Amino acid sequence: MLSVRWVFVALVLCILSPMAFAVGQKETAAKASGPVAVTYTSWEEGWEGPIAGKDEVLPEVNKRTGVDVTLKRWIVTSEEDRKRQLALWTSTDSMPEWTFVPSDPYTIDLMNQTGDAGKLWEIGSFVDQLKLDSATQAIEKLNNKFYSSQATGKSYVLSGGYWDPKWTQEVESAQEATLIRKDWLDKNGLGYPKTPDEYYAALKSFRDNIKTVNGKPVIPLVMNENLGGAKYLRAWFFDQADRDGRFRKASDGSYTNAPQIDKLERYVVFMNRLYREGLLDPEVGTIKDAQYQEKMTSGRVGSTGTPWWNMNSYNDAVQSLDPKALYVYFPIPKGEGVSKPVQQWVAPGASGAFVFSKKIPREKVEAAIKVLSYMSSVEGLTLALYGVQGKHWEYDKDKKLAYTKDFMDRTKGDWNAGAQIGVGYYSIGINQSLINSQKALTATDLRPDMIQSRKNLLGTIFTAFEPQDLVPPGPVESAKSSAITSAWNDLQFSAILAKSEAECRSLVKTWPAMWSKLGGDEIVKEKNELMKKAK
Amino acid sequence: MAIPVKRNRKQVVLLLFMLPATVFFALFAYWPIYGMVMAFQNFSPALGFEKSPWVGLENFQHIFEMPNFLMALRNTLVISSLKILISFPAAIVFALLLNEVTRPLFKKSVQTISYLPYFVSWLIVSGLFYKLLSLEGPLNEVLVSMHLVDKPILFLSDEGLFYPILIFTDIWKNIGWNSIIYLAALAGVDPELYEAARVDGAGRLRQMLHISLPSIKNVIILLFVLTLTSVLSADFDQLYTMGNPSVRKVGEILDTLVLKMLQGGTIRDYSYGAAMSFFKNTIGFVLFLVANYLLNRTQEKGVI
Repeated sequence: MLSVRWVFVALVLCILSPMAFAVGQKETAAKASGPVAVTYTSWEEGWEGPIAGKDEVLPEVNKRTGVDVTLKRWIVTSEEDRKRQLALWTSTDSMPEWTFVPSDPYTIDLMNQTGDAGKLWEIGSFVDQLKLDSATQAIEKLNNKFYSSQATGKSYVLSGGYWDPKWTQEVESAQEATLIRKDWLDKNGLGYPKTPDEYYAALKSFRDNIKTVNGKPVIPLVMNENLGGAKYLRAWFFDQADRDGRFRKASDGSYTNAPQIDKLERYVVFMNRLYREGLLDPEVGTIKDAQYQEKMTSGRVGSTGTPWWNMNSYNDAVQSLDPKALYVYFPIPKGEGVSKPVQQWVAPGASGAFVFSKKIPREKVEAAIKVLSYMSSVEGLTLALYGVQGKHWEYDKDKKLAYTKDFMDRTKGDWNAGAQIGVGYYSIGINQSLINSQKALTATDLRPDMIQSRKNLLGTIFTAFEPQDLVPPGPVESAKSSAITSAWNDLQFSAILAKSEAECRSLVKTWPAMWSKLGGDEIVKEKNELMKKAK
Repeated sequence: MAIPVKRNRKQVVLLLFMLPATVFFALFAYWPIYGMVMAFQNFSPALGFEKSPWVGLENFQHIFEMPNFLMALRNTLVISSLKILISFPAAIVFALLLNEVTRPLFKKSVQTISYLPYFVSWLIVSGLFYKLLSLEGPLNEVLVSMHLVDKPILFLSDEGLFYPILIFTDIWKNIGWNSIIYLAALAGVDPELYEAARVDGAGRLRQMLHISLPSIKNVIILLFVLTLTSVLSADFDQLYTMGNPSVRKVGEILDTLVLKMLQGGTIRDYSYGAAMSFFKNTIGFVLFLVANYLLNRTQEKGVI
């Protein structure tokens, strides 16, 4: 028989429980009527982000959109670290609410598998909620289709940006190209090289006429580790010899990426000649990045391939030794078989992508989409890239967006310093070229190397999507292409470092058989089957 | 005869002492072995071990069919053999010689200096040697200025010099650390044996050969057998950082080959990596069993 004490306890619980439930419901109701709260986890790999409590942009975003976004910085130290963390999240079903991830094939593949396993929201229906102009909307849908799951055709990844043709023609067209010492060309009475022979002559003149810098011999051409930078020479002078596996239309109307042996041979024989004659750095096979940086800042190098932000650093370093030194990108030459300007970006793609965990309710996804829509508008892009008007930027006399003196004093023009207070960090909006034309020229834009390089390259690099670029790689290509790329890199090295032209040519001639052996024919067959299905 | 209760209780207490270590090994060493099933699957973190599709030996086939697999296997075996033939005895010789040093301060100094490089990562060591051996590095500067060579030598591009550089750096980095266990074993040798040998007229060298060396025989056998288990590894860290495309034909080992092939970054990488690891560990285990069996057969005491 129950004691009086236990009966009393049971009665109290029966009275208190409904009251507690009612209070809880009231709290939930109160929360539901406030702004939707969503946590945004943003991938960072080598760049700065907002310091807690010092973010001056996100609170403004929240105020303008009516969404309560909380930033969680996902700091990774390397690609391997990033992959490990993503694998851990997917395997333990603990993907964050709203995550910004890179758009490399591994990550996209993993996100698609995670989505097919029911752990991510399918984003198809949300794309229409994005308030974008029609052209941007079309490219966004194209990207999302490109990134969709091969197994189910469903899309779980919302691309965070794309390679806009207008964008690549404008400010950023000097992104990556081949640098040359303009002052050395002038000293030798030479113009920018337009053919491989002219390029060879320029390098030879550097070695024979300039000879030494600070008592050490000139190095006419230097490459970074693993022939880093060589692809620009390959693209410009030899019509992208072997085109890094890109598909082209064959004469019979099918698509192929089989080796174009004549172009490949011309390229490696040319590079081999440079190596044997001492015009290419003898340490090309052993150089590490630290040694490359040392050579580039020593003032001894005549030419190299590298991104524009390195060009700025190298010029600053060599001009401290010789004020007249100047590295610039030279104009894209019309090499053998090159009949039109080079297509630099030739596939759909995005700088990053967004995924949403299936654990969050639909309204949170819609809230995030609302924020993305805002961040893709002119007003939102301006807030993201420039910050708050009056505080971080103002209009200059030409009605262009220019940073304020206070902001420049605080950050010294360093992007990372700006990111620590949120300025420039939230560049998640789609179609950032929308405000490119409104941007005032910055100190970087006014540098002599940037002015000259842009003048040389402007309007010569463009994006074109061809039908074969719009069909993503199938399982055979995904499985076998890395082996082909690796074998091609090995062949490139062996041929360039060959002791004679005959040895170089004989090595190149082995490539078609190697390509087939590694599954090249199977990849071509799969591609054509996928192209037929896509039609 | 029944075990006395007091002894039984002591046994239980000892077993309880072992419990944390047993649990640790069970959880972090034995339980993860289940993950080797990845080698037989097309593993995806999104699907886990239970739902990832089974592919049998397909991953192994992919590994063995990689171009240059045989070249990498040959290089791995050559480099491991060179380390067993040169680096392994070098630590023993070093320990024996150090044991003969009578001045304690000098002995301790040499010992400390010799095992300090062990704590420097291969990334730093390779950077150091790349700088030292580069075309404009100090070694070439000395050789050219002393007219020993006409022009600088590309040490790191020369296939003929790659193995000597590897072995030298391996010895430089590891000799001190590897000699510690031998020195510890030598410290346990009864000094009366040396006394007796001196009385019999044996010099330092004979004492070393007939007393010191036989005393550490069991330690040498144990470490040799354990070294055999990693014969297909050839020290990935060293080869990855010291290797370069110029010496690929002699410097590419199984691990660097797999890493290069898999740097396309697909999810299948997990399975391929697991397959290679399974292959290497199986070979290592078989070699261990064979070596142990042979030792037992020759009436030497095996490891197990």
